[in-house]
Parts: sequence; structure tokens; C-alpha cells
Amino acid sequence: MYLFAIAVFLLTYAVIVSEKVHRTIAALLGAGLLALSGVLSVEDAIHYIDWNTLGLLIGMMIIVGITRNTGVFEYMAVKAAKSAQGNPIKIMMAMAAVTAVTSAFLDNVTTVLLIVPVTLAITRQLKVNPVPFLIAEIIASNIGGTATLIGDPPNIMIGSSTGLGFMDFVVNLAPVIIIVHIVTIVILTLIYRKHLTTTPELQKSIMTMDEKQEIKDSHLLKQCLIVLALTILGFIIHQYIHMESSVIALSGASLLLLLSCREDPEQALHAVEWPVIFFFTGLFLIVGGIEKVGVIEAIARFTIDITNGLLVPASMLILWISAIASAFIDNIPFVATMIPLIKDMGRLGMSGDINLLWWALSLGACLGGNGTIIGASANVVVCGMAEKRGIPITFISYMKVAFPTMLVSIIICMVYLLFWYQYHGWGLIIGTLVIGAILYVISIPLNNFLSKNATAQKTSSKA
Amino acid sequence: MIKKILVAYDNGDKAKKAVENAIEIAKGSNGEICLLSSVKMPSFITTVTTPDMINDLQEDTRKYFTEVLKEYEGKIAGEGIKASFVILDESPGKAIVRYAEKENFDLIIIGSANRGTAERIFLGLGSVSNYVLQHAKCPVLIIKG
Repeated sequence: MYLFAIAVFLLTYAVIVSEKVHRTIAALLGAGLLALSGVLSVEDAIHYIDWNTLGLLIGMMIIVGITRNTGVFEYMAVKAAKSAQGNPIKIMMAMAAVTAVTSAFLDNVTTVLLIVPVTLAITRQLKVNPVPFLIAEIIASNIGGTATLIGDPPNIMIGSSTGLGFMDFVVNLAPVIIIVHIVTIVILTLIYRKHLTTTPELQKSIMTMDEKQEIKDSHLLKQCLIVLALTILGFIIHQYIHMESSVIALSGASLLLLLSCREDPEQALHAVEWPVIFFFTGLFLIVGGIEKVGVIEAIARFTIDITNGLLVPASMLILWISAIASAFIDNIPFVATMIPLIKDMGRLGMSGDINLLWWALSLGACLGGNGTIIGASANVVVCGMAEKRGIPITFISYMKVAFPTMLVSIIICMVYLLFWYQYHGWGLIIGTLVIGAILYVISIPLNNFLSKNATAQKTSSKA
Repeated sequence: MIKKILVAYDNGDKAKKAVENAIEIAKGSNGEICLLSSVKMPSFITTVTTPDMINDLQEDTRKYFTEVLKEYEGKIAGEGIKASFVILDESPGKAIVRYAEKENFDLIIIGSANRGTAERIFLGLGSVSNYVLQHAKCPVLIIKG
């Protein structure tokens, strides 16, 4: 039993990584083998599936699926480009900021699907290379997604299985994410400053774009904004009124279905990505299999041995391993495996506040995805969209920029987590926010200098 | 005599060169040029998106290519060459081979692969030009670098 469960687990992982078979089919096949061989009974299966994660995913997919048709996100993107006065460097920063904020509340793939077409239109008008913009958006979507419970699947899974709520994520992760975002974008503008140049005439052409044209259905938009606001309010208070996050998401989804498509929900329900839902289900079972036979507990004991049961070394180990692993493999199966492992470590006598490990896992797994073009779903989607437009983002060209940037972000998180261990509480949150604000203020003159050069260079080379 | 020329257009630099080459050949032979683009999204992104999103993306891409190809069509016609374009939603390799056969083209012009080994392994992106070279029933001209 023991060896069989391990074999199924490893084999499934290998197949998922190789991508020879769709990840959902691989996960379901693995789960099927465990059920057929009797490692998992039906009761076990139901027990190991994290229904709250599935509910939260489905609820958010429906809400986002309906809202994305309104054009509100495209509106924000055009508005951002115009507020940047058509300056390429400022546009890149503005688009990255819109991407980060949007993906904190939407899934990252939807965010980039909405923002990339607008970006391509804008860069075409400015006659600048779109690649720096696309890379900034990929990275911003993964960074922004880390800030909240609903931003990225690892956080959904962590929140769901630990009971950490929406506000726990915001309070403990958002401040450091702001710092990571600012530092990353400054690095990217420095790397790409030479590419981000245009002429004053082209800059002006951006100002003629009309963001209002992006709004496709203003009636639906109102309904969506009301439901989104209510849902986010629900998330903010859910842990204080002891309500699961999935209840909030599914209630929001039901309300929006009622408001927007009273007669036929068929089209709206197409937004539910069943392959993703079944992928999660299969994974929960495969991880459940090795959990049941005791493999996870054995690894937990081993980790406690090598870290002497000390929290800080364990958290650093988790942060770095999850970051490097997520850069190359899908972070969803990785996090699904780490969750019972960390729970066992807590149970087996890790001393101190085990939440440190959860934050390490979340930061590592979400930000690590930035490392390579295959590190996260958003990366792959942007790469595919660019590919189709004849703008190849190659594996190496992406990694040269993104991997070191990712390492910097992990180092920032490492420092943050060490502080968190010592002083977590309001002091740390305010302190981190203050550092973020200072960094932002420092970055303004630097960016102004760079963006002045952006137009000057082109004009002088023309003259 | 090379009369009907099919140019596979993916908006990359080599495709732009392919159009220039086609113009040169067509001028000499008094031939005509057809530009072909595919809007089918690479299969690796379908694992993380819904069919709805893919449809939206393909529609968006179709709009984009219609604009770009119309511009080229005008440019080629400006050189006094008969020009047309077609946008298909099959995967690029298959679309090119099938269309060339169906419409009896005399020559296919295509840029060589944009991608290296890493992309082949990690993203499953095969070489379209290689596919066309293997499967086409008419002469193929491959534009390098």
C-alpha cells in the first residue's frame, strides 16, 4: 500500500510535469488507481477533497466570467495609458499596477487575457517593442495575485485548509507584496529603458484613444460592480462572522446569475473551467493517498529533524524550495502536497507560530512562478498570445530577465519573514507599508528621469 | 511557371521578408500572391483557459490579422501584383498545406522556425516550416534569418 501510493503519486507528478498527457487526465487517472486499489475508500476520497477550495474557485470563475464581458478591465487599462500621458515607461508602470491590482481579485489568467490585447494595441500605436510590457504584466499578475486569498490558487488552497481568512492574507502579505512590486518594476524599467522610447507625436496619439469605447455593456457593468463590491465586502468580514470563503464566492455568483441572466445560465456557467476543477479534485485525492499511508508524516518528521524543530530554518527552507520548484513545475500540485506536510509539522511539535510557514509557502509558490515562462499559467498564456502575433518571447530571453528578478523578490520576502518571526503585529505591517511608501517616493525621481530620456533619446536620434 | 504564390504570414520578421521575396518572384513571373494567417491558439495555452476565452482570443487575433493583411494586400497591389489574403482557424502547418493543395498553389513561401529547443521541450511548439516542408505537395521556399 505504502509503496503503491508513493508510486502513483510520483508517476502522476512525472506525467503532469512532462505534459504528455493533460494534467487533469493525469490527476484523475492517478486518483482512479488509488481508489481501484483500495488505498482510498469513497469516504476517504470525500474527506480528502477540499470542497471549500472547489467552491471558491467555481464561485469566482462565474463572477469573473460574467464581469470580463463588460469591458471594465480594458477601460482601466486604456485609462492608465492615458494617465501616463503616452510615455512608454510610465505606461509600462501604469499597466503593471493595473495588472497587479486586478489580479489580486481576479485569477491571473483572466487578468492577462484582458490586459494583453489592450497592451498590444497601445504598443502598436506607440511603435515600441511590446515584449517589456508583456513581461512586466506577467510578473505583475503573479505578484498581485499573491496579496490576497483569492488572487492565486496556492492562496485559495492554503486559506481553505488552514482557516486563514481573506484579511489574514491582506494584512500579512499585501504590505510585502507592495514592496516586491515596486522593486521589481523599477528593475524592469532599468533593464528595458532603451527599448521604451517613442516620439512626442506618437505619444499624443495615445491621448486620442477613448476608454469609454471599451465598455461593452454598461447595464451589466453596474450589476457586476455591485456584486463584486458585495463579494469583496463578504471576503473582508468572512473570518469574523465564521463563514467559509466558498460560501461568499458562491453566494456572490448566484446573485450575479440572478441579476444578469435570469432566463438561461448556460452561457454564464461556461465560465467554469471544469478541467481545472477536476485537476484539483484529482490532486487532492493523490495527495490524500500518500497522506493516508503515512508518507507525508514521515517527510514532516524528517524536516523537523533537519531543522531541529526550529521555525525559522524551516520557513526559509519552504520559501526557497517552493520558489525554485514553482519556477519549473506547476505550483498547484506542489502546494497541494506541502499543505498536509506543513500541517503535520505543526502537529508533530514545530515550536512557535506556524503561520510563518504558511506565509513562506504562499510567497515562495506564487512568486516563484515568475522565474520561467512555464512557471505559471499567466506566463504561458501571455507567451501564447504574443506568439500568435509574431512576437516570440523565448524561454531564455524571458528567464534572463525574470529569474534574477524573481530571486530578488524572494530575498525581500526572506527578510520580511525574518522580521515577521520577531515582531509580527501592527508594527510590522505599518513598518512594511512605510518602507513601501519610501521606496515609491524614491522611485519617482528615478522613473521621471528615465521617462524624460524615453522621449529625448528618440528625438535626438531622429534629429 | 510560378504563378500562384502562397505566403505564410505570422507577423514575425521572417514572414515580412517572405512577403518581400514573394513580391520579387511574382513580379518576374507576372504571378499573384495570397497571404495566409492562422488564428488558432497554440495548444499549450488551452490547458489553462476556457473555450470561451479561446474564442475571444481568436476573434481578437482575426481582427488584428485582417487589419495587417489588408494593409499588405494594398501594398502588394500597389506594386501591380494581384493580391489576396485568407485567415484560417486551423493549426498553421495544416492550414498552409491543405489550403495550398486545395487552391493549387505553385509555391509556398514561409519563414524558418522562430523557436529553439527549449520551446520545443517546454511548450510543445513544433516548427511550422518543418511541417510544411515535409507535407506540402508543391515547391516550398524557406526564408532564413
